[in-house]
Amino acid sequence: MKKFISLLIVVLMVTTMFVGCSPEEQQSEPPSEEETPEVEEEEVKTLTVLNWKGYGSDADYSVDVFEEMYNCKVEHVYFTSLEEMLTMLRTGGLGTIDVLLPNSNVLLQAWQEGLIQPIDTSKMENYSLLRDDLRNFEDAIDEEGNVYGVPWAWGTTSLGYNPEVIEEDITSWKALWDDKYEGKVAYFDDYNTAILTAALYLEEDDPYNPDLEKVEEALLDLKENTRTYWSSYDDFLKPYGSGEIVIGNMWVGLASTIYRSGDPVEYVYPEEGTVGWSDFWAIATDAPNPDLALKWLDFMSSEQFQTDFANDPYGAIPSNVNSLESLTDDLKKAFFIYPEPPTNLVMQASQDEETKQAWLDVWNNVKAQ
Amino acid sequence: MTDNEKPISKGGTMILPSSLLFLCLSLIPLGMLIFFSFIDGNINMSGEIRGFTIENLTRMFSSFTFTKLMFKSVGIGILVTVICIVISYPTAWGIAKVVKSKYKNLLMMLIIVPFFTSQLLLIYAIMVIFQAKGVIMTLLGSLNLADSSTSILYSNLAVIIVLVYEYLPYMILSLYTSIEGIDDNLISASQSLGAGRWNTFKNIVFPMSIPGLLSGILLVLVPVTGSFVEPTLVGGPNGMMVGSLINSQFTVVLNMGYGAALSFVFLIILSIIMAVIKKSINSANKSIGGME
Repeated sequence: MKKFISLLIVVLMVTTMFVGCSPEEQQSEPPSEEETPEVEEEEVKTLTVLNWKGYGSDADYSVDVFEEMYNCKVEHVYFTSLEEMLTMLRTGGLGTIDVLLPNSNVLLQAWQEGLIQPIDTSKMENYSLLRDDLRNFEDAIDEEGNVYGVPWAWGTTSLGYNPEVIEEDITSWKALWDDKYEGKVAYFDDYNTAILTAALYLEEDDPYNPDLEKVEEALLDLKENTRTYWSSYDDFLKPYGSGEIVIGNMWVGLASTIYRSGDPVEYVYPEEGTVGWSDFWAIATDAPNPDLALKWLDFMSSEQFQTDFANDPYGAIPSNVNSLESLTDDLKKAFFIYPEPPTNLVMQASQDEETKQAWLDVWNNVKAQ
Repeated sequence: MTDNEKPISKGGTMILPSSLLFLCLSLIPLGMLIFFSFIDGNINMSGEIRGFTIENLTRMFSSFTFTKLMFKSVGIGILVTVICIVISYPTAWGIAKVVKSKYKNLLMMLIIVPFFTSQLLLIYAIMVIFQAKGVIMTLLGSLNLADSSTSILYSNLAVIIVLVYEYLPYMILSLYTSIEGIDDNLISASQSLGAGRWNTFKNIVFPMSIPGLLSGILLVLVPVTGSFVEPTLVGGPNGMMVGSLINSQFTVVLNMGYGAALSFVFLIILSIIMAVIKKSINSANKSIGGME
């Protein structure tokens, strides 16, 4: 009996194995059958997108809609860091990748290295609808006026605090340096944001090129008030939730997370300026489908798509002005762009190697003191 | 009999595999580290090197940042190691000699269990226990001993606690294997000849546990001194250690040359410290009249 049962199981397993295999075979066959006739009529182009995983462009409301609109296929390749993205282009990505998503920190480097090509924005319907300050970001445009990046999702690293503990209205970065909040401040452990923020606090004429000695002094002052240097969501949320920190600079995404979970948070844009960042869509050099790539950029900039993306729980703030305005008040509040989005953005830009090293040294000196 | 004791082969063929491993996993990487200590910046995408420089080495001593962090890290490393030794001796002794043998495996299991968990999770677990309004702070708060909305996290004390917790098993296991190997008859003999507990410890237990102690120190001191995750997560604004400085060169500005030079000097300093520790333990052993 036992033998019979085990034999039965074996037979069952073998059959399911074949059954399990056969649909795949069927799946793999039809496309090749379909493709051949279609090549004769009209070739179905495949657009290759290089992006973060799960970041808007691979959702149903993007891929399916775009494929439908232009009768093409969209394929995604993912990177896990911007450095990896650049490396993928340098090592064989050119010629296979159509579009990619560098951010404001690496955009300049990408076109100076010849990894991305100028974009003919006159052929885009939605380009003029994108926020002016993002479109005119210095690193996106070369001296001859060629545009290399189309702004997409953007955000800020601004000043947040717990309104249940802090009752005054905060409007300036000076609050972080205020003795009142000694031992209650959290500060982002990123050399670029740290120094840019200190430069804004000092009201330097050129925050990208501040007096580093003064910055170091200011950051050392701030250290007296600082409870912790945070570098991840968890780093910030734990001590914030338990009341160990009540104020600090934070990503808008962090503030949104706290807001959506129903906890008290106020996120303000100080009068001295706010550290901003943006992602940009770019077309790779030697892109196999340059026309389709341009259409993709246009689609990504469209009001329809950006509104859908903003309504995604993992979404981002739209760069399309119409889309920005059309968001519900609730959503605007969750993104901290109610009633109006901030206008005094100081964008994080790329830096040459020496500046990077000099800024990092200052930040390490401050932390080591 | 005598034939059997002859080496199987007089040539070097039998040690070839292990020599190759040693070469590939130890000597070549070490050579590369020294080589990269002298390159200017990072290697570029096509693998070219911009040039050679000794600026990496002069630069690290031009500001006090590296020296200060190095002293601090070695200090924390030694402190954590000493705490681990103090806790581990009685523990290892207890498990090896006092506890009934049927409980031995259970106790060893309990010590080894943390190894099954990722290091990061151990740190987060400790953080949850110690955080404001966490288990400990709530308890202290309800006893009116402390304000439950503060905590000892984000300080050097927190770094030391986390590091001791993480590295204690290494020390216990190293000492356990040595103490386990001490013949009970030696201890009985020492006691029956009139030696007290202290004399038995210094003349029998300590000398015979030196190999375990040294490997324990090596396993604890070196990684603790180079740690950078713990200071970043629980160290607060003053937590930075030399590991973070090295890490930032590689991950933030991609300055491979400077990062390698820092690691190289760090390696030399640690080797010297280890040599000194080994020497002084051995001479301490001799001066208290312990046997070799």
